[in-house]
Amino acid sequence: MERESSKRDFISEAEEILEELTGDIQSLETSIQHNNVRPDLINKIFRQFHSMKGISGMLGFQKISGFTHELENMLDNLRLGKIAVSQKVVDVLFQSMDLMHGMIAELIDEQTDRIDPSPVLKKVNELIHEDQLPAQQVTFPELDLDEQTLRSLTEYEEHRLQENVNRRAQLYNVRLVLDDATFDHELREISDLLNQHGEVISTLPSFESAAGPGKMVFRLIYGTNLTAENILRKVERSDVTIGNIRKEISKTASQETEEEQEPERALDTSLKSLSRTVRVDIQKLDEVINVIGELVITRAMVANVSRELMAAEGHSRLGVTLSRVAVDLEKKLNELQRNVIETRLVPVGQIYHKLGRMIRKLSRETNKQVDLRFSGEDTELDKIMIEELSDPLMHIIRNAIDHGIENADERRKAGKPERGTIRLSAFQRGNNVVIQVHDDGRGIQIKKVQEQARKRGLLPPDRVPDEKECIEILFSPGFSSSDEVTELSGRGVGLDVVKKNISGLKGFISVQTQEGRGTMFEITLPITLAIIQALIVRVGQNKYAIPMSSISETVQIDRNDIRTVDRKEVYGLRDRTIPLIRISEAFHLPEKVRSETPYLVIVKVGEHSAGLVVDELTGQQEIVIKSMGEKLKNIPGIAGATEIGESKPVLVIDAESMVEEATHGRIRAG
Amino acid sequence: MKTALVVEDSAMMREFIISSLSTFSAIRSVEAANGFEALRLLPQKVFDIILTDINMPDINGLELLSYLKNHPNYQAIPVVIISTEKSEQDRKRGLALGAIDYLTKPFQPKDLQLIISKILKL
Repeated sequence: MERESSKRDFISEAEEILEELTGDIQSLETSIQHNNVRPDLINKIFRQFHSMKGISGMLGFQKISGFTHELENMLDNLRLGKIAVSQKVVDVLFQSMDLMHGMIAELIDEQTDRIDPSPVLKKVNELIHEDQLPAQQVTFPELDLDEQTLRSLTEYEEHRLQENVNRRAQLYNVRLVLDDATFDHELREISDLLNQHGEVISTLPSFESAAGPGKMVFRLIYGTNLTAENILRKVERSDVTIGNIRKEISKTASQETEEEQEPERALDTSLKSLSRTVRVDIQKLDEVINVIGELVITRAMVANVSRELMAAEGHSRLGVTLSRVAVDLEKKLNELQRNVIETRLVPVGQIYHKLGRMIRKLSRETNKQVDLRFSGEDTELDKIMIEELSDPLMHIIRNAIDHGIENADERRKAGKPERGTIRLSAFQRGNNVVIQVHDDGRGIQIKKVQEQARKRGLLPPDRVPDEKECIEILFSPGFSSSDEVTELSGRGVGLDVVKKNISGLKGFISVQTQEGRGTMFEITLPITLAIIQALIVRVGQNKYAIPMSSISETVQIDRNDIRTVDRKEVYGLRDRTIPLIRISEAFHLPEKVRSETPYLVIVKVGEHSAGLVVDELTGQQEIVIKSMGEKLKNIPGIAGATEIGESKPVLVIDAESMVEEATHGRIRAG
Repeated sequence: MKTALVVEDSAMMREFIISSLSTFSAIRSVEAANGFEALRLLPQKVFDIILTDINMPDINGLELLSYLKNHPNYQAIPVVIISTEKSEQDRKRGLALGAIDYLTKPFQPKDLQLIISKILKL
């Protein structure tokens, strides 16, 4: 299925391009507001549409290629100065992004009739035809540029040169002699620096044998308001010479004579592309992780055999050797695992772009001015989790804008700046990644939550819940509904769904709020779901695995110290009373805890703790959670099954829902 | 065996070109994601043909072409430029700088194959 695979490649490339484009269009909008639009940014956006058009055209995705073709035209006109850069253009670009996301979704679903690009295309054509600026004559009589250099300019570069001439910038020929080994990095560095004070219009590699072996010569055409002296001072390099283009007579390379042969040894070094990345379908990585998971089990078997061997024959040589092999195998497997997991990690910043686009749209719809601040873009998280995370984050942000951030009037009265701020930050905390969404709005209004909860029958009329309970109510199903748009329930954005999504990722969510000051949602997630550390416990004859990430401690207790309060078992741990969970009862199993001195595995989810009563802690190991198929999916309390190197699979306990059961008793109802 | 250098900044377009070239068993393709990579690869290998995109960051295809045509070691290598159908001026400049032929995007594998077999006499 060659077509299928090129379609998959296209979709993944297109998504990458769209993500980058979104960021670039945002920068364009900001730069329009600050009146410092960079021409190279427009050219970059043009190039991205150009790529999209080219690839989709070649693969026969007509709808996308037709649409991007028109946008490419518009951007071509824009970068060549034929139409002006305006907010109108940015709006059309953002609308195009939405359409293109839609068209790619269509492509995935083999559909073609959901997205109608014609209204946007109409706007694109209006921009192209109605807003044409007068064409500019392009000649450079006043410039001293040789024919060769002029010919090497693309239409775009020529236009940029003309622009610089028109605004009476100084134009220089900057000649750099750079080392063969490092020219690309150095050149990019110098260009970046020069671009801060002007515009590098053209970068021409130039052959000059006089430069000597191991050297590369580049000539930049540079427009700026700086003097030549100042440029030299900024660049701080000895290998730079500068000439004013009006005076400089450029050497043409044809005047050069023989040059030295490149060293022979370079010939057979490498045919590889120098871009040292490969693109891999995440499914392939999953397969690798699965195999590693199975190897982990095999290793456990080897370790078991070595133990049995040593037990049966004393510390025989064979047994000792085998146990060493097992230890060695474990080390290597850990290394392998770490490496594979690292390849799955991507920076959180990837979804920031998407969210930025949404915030922009929402703030316009709600007529609230919202600034967005990001931090921790580089924090890394499993690719799959990043994907799963964007919906919950969108929910939270939507709520923040709809309900949290006040309108300008209200904010002014409260003595706050008129523009609201949403801060998104990500950072690593131990083996977890924490993502916080903070808004400086009015905070969660506890009284309104109470009223709403009463109305919806989630709260008995005589009970006055504290703040903590109120926040929990926010997360309960049925608190918000889509059929009624009220100030609090909004458009059916249910925080219960958010919570469910996050716990599906083995994470949890908590909220801090202060009336009048703002609200912070905090999502804590494991870095990866692929392989997790688990504690293996025994209840009667059965073994279970409990993810280490949810365990706060384990204690051995005397069974006589277990008390019963309200017909529920509890244990007094230090100054706290912890509700207990019997795995056998939760799953209606006959195997019960028999030990006189059982262990408690204290699991903690957000603010809540509960203790699982078990006979024995048998060890800690890495496990790969396998789903148990459709029929057994979504059983509260069970996250899946795993193998631990013994004859039968063991169940993996879902600590989150267990704690829910212990603290609210909600689960068993189902 | 002939060696082709493909200079193109879009990874997928690069793959498309290379897979189009792979129908020729006598051609081995080497890829560069930008002009800088091309400059690095040039001294390392004898190339029989170079295909370059025009619109690229850092160094564009015309600038690369100009360098090639002025370098005694590389000036004889036939260069095919790949441009958008729109930019006729860029295409004309490329031919004036010494490109042997051009392709406009989007093209089909057979368009490319035709040009290549003509130039390399395959």
